[in-house]
Amino acid sequence: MKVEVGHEIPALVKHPTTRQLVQYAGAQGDFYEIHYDQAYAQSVGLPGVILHGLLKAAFLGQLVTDWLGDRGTLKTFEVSYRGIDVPAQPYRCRGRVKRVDGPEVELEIWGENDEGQRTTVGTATVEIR
Amino acid sequence: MNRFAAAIGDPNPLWTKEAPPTFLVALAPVALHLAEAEEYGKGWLNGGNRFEYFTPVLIGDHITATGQVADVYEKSGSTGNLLFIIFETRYVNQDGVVVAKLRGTMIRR
Repeated sequence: MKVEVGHEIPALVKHPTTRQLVQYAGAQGDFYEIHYDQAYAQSVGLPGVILHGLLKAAFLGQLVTDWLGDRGTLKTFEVSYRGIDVPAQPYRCRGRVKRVDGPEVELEIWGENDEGQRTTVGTATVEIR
Repeated sequence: MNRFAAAIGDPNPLWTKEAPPTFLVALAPVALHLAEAEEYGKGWLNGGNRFEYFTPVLIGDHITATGQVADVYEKSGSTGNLLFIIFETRYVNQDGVVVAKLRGTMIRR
């Protein structure tokens, strides 16, 4: 595994659908209507139903664990939601090695919408075995 | 856990034994129902989440989640005032070991 500061890890592109939002709402137990009820979402000023922040976090979690495999352990995982995302648009998850300190590696991670805007940004730290 | 992994669309076979990174949020609500907060603004926004992991969560574990409101503050935003509520959840396994902590920022707008 190449772990050098600046190295970009393999991107992960997800294709969320309204069906997935309903599936995720059930799996997490988060039934806030903005994730499946178009009329409700619009009534609170949104363009329509939007992705759960925690679903985007899960996508970024997959980005990190796909890269890490069984070569280490995830220690911290932090994300900030900077913008809303809608279904039926690809969501591209990316990451880059930010710091290497012995076995501890810090990754800068982010999720981009179809226009390349970073709507979720975060940091993951892993310990390499 | 199978249903959660399917819902996030992550086919990693590891998730048949061990919890994926964000799975803990499915065990218990990550934000408490706060009637007073719901009178503020029109809706909720999730501002961010921070997970800290101490030991893996495995199939068969018994996890107890304990949540609290850590902080509440107001900020002025470009479209009006926002109310920030910081929730903290601690996850303890059957051996009394803290397996993970979660800090979440929920915003009323």
